[in-house]
Amino acid sequence: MDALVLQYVMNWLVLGCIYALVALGFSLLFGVLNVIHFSHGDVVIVAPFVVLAVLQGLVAAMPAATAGALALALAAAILAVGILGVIADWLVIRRFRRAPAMMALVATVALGTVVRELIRMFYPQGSNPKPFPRLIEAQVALGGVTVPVFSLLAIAVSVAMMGLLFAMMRFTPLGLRIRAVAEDRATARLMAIRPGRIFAATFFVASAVGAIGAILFASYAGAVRFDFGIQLGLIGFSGAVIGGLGSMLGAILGSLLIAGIDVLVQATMAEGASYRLVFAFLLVILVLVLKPSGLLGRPAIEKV
Amino acid sequence: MSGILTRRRLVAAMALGAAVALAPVAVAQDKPKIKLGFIGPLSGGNAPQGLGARNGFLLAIEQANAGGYPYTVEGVVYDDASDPQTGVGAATKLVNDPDVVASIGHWNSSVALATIPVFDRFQMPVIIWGAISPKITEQNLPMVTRVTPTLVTENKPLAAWAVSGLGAKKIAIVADTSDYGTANAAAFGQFFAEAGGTVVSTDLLPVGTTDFRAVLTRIAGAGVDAIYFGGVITEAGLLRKQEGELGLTVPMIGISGFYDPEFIALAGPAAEGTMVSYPAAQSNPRLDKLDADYTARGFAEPSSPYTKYAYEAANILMAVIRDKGIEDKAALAAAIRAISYDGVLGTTTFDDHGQTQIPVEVIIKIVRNGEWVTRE
Amino acid sequence: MAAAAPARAATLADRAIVAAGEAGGALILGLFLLAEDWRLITAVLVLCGAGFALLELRPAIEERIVAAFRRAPATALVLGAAIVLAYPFGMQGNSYALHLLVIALLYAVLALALNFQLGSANIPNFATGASYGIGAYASALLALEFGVSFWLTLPVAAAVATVFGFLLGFPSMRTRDTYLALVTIAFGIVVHQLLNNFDWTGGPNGLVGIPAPSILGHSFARPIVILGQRVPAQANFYYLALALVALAILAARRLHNSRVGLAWNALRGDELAARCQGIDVVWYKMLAFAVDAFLAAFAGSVYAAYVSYISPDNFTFLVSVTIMTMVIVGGMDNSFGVIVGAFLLTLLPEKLRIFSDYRLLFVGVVVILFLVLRPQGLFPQRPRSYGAS
Repeated sequence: MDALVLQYVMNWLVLGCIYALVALGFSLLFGVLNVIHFSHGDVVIVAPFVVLAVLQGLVAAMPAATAGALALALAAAILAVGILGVIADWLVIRRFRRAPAMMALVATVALGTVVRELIRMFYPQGSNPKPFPRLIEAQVALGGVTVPVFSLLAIAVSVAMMGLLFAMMRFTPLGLRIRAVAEDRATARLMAIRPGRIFAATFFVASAVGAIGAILFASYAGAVRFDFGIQLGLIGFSGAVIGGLGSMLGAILGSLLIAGIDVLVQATMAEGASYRLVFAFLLVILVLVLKPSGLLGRPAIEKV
Repeated sequence: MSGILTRRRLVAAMALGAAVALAPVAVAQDKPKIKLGFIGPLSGGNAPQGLGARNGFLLAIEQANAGGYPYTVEGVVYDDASDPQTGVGAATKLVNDPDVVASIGHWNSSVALATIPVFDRFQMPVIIWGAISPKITEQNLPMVTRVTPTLVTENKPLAAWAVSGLGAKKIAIVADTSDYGTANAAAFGQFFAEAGGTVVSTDLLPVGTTDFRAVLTRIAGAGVDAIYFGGVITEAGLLRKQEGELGLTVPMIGISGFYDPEFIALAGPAAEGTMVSYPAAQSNPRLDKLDADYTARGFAEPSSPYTKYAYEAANILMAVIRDKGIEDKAALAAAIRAISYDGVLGTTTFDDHGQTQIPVEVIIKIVRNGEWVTRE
Repeated sequence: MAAAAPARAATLADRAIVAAGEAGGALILGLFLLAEDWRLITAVLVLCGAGFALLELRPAIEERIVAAFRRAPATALVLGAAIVLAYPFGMQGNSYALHLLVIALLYAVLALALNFQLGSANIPNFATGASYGIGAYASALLALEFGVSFWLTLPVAAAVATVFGFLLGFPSMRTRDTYLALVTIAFGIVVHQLLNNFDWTGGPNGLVGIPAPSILGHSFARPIVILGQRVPAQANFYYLALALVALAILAARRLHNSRVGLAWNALRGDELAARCQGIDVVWYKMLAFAVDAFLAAFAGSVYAAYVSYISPDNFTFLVSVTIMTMVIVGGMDNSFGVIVGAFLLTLLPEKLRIFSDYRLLFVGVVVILFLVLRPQGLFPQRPRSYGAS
């Protein structure tokens, strides 16, 4: 039975880490801009499509260099989706900076539809699912069971990205500026920080990190389809919220929690699979009833 | 704004199929003009099924128009987006148009169940090309017939074969929570038990699930002889791929819902050895010709397993309209039920509830070397 | 502002503006409903767009129109009622146009229901679709399993949904804004999944053969014949849905002018300040959820009886988002604006059918354009006016 338990644990960790990469974007954007970017999931799911397109182009051009082509495709996808995030902000989201929160939410739900439909119509045969390659096919023996190297890689990449993001926020000038803008936009402006650039940078970082999550997601599932971003986005959003918006550690914790209940319900309950979303979202409600600002969110203290 | 709209409109018209735009030019003007309706999911996650079927429908009309059919037929295509309310809107729009004589419709049973009262109340014959819920024909509405077999027809022989031919004693059932998945799981589970096998577990996953590892790990722990999957292509491909990764080597079986090259493309090498039942009567020269014509026509979308059903449904409508004219809808509906139609599906006849009676003798198709072949 | 203007008797010009406004609106709606040619549809849309651009550029025109309606309420009411009651007879027996009207009216009820929360009190709620579904299922199950008359299921379904509304309102005691939004999203998903998974709700196949109501021996499945004029059966439900909208508007007015409406507006302004004023914040928040659920359930019951079939797919998260978009696009806390929003977002996707595959894309783009170009909504909320009448 131990081997099975290990497999469940690996499954949980990989899913949790992938969701966390998406949740981090939600949390970062909310922390800095106070905005809910509901189309985040749909924007980042563009990344696997870019990978496939670039791979196809490169393999056609020079069939020999496959490893190099993959690296190039991944880099191109992350960069492209980062830029796409900035464009989404510039075209739509930035117009709702001063509007009530729900307006940005509704506008980005519509934006998500637009992004999905654009993939569907402009990617060749975009309605159909696309097989997505395993980044690494090898397997290793671990505690008596064979574990795909990919799973370990996914966890490692996620942890590394989280570490990098923390380091960026803590130790780099950009991180300092982002935190300054998040703290107080007007004062930051007085310190010669341009909030507009910081917003663009935040969108770039959040989308690029999410793109890595989406690529890992597609690779782990084995395929990508234009509407896979809906559930990825919804679960990432939920992870970020129950963790406490604006808290990076919270986003990771929340994502692990949702992935955990998902795997647990399916592993232990006879008819659990059909109720997996029911349990996941009941957990969301429960957490928010007990901790209204999420697990690690700053409790809202208001001055009169 | 209007300039953009015009360009988009042009693109849309082209995507819709040149037939609709060109038919009045290409055909002599003296023939009376009629319209036939089509409804199906053309956007959203089920769009591949709907688009393939729509192309089958348009192809049938094009061929009729080119082949001396006594009317000039125009296809009216509406999207139901897999949403019952949108479907009712589309159906109401069809019945309200006096030129539309009859219609075919729906992949989702929930949408079909919502629209058939509309078709029935406003007296328009409708042939269901994709939705498989038994409830649709159980109501026995005079205007409604269906060319798709219900799930019972394929699951029963498959379950019997799984026990006797494959030798599976214990089986795990996986499907989705849609009408298609739940009905498949229930039908197969019942027939497999009747045939003497044991259903170890039944797992239904919400539509949109992309990770099956938790369920598969539990199935691996239970030690089964085979896995039955009762869903559609995408999920079937993902499930099979993830099975391979978890080292679960038992065969996967299912009905013809995911008999599709797309499944092999998705599952990759793991697809090897997957077996599905396939109605034997479906393999005939007419079907091969349809496949060839479809390729030659150069549609933007690939064919789906439902292309042939929509094609056949459109042809049956046109056959009865040729005989009975366009005025008496009740006579048309009665003629559909009385028909014995030789086409791509074999010889279609309907029972007293409007359900197709095509005999299903299934053969087993298996993936070998990355291709579907008939299992000896 | 009109509020500051002294109360004057309605002039002939006021009455003319009111009459022109109402007749013009009815005419444009009719034109849009009956239009089949994409050029005509585009032209009507461009006309409406130009109208709103004019209002945006010349606010004085808008003020004049509002003032006219305010000074001639009797004219507006009588003429409006006459137009609305006679409307089905002007549809040339087009059952599709009538169907669209019925659906639009039901969405207007849903949007008005949500408006109590979102507009009046700024409480986000993405579960109106779920309340709509609970009402529809409660009513349909009562009718199918126990043969209860539609008219009796109406209040029972509303009561059931209201209980759920209170339940949903419970977490709102402490959570706010985005966190509360997620609670309602989660509630909506849970309800949808459970409706899909339970056997007694018919599972994914839903409930078939819900009977149409009848009144004084007249079945709602039959056409209406008055003075030799015959209108399709959809007209029955048009009048039923119309009554529901009237009820919702009346409730909105009464609540707006009552202590409850004031308390909600205070919550919208500043929750903390409201609490300091001695307003029972928790009670009024939960009340907002309950009122939303109550009205949404009515709409659900009528929908079930109208289409005679419901399934979980009718009540997804997307439906809730659509309802919220209607409120925001139309104009928060403005009943008329919300109704216009509901009509626009119901009719637009149907009329964009001409764009086939591109339909969803266009709907998305149009919604974003509306939000960007007129963020305060088509008909923005108006400050409370005292002493004008």
